Amino acid sequence: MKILTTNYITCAVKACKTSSNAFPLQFRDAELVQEELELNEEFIKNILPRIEWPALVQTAASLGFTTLPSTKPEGDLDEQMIKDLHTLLVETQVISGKLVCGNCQHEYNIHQGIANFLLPNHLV
Amino acid sequence: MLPTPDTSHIDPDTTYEPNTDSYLILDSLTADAPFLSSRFKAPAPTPLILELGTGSGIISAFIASNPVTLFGRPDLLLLGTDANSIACAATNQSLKITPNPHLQLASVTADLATPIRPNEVDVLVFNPPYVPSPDVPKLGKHEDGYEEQFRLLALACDGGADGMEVTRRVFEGLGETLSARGVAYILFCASNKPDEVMEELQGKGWSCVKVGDLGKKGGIEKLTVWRIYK
Repeated sequence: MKILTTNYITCAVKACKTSSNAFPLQFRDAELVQEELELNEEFIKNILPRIEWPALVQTAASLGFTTLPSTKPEGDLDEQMIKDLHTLLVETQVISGKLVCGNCQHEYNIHQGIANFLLPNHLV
Repeated sequence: MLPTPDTSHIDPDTTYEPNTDSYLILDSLTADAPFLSSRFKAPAPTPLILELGTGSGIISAFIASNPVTLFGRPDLLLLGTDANSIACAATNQSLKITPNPHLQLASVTADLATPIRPNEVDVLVFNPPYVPSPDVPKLGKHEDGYEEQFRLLALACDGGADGMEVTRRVFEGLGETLSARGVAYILFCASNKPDEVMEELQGKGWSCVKVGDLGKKGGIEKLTVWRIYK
């Protein structure tokens, strides 16, 4: 799963959906792999408006990517910024670890790149 | 006709194999490309596509392979869920071998859209378990290997009463799942009584347009695909 996934998911527990603490879910013990993919500048520029930037900055920082500016870059992006975003958003996959809800503390396991959001019976 | 994605890597003992219903969704999306292209025309932000119950991943892979033909733009973001983690792995593989693996965010194991943030999804695609059955299989894993295989395949097919129990749960959350510009594409069989279902949805303010159908038996269309939106 790509890091940007956390921009569009939240805790599967119904009561957490409206809690600001549940977003973004936090990675724990995440193991990352880089997969080389062709740089597509247009794609990076196009998806920027679709990104909730503060949440991405927070998630990226927790994984050791600390070069993102605190506000979303606008206008023309320099070459280095495009490269950094390509590495972070397109080439980096989380292959194992956990995603943790900041509201209920429930942990969702990630195994072979697939996060499991099925809840135990008592939480459904 | 657009080429059908390669899903030959899937294990049909544990993952639903692409079938007539899957292909009908591919054709329906293709037929509805003018609508999609106009609704999501750039410079509107990149559409987020969510497929529920991806199975082999053939539908997501088809979308990822043809963004310009279907949406009139090269940029999409694709998410998929399936209650069967083996199907999630199959979906990942199907996406990986498309020309555009960069469009896929993740395939996650989940009950429908339960972990998806509210009002983020621009296009929801669902080939549901639509076959009427005495009950819908449980989401918890079965210890016995044979029983587990049986459960996984039943998850992809058994839709409970009228074959509608799972689809109804999607409808209940549809307003919360879709964005303001959101559209859902959902497949029905004749036993689902789609005409009655659409009337009900229209009563709740949804627009419903039939975008695909296949095979008539005694005047009744066996399979149909509907675009449901506001």
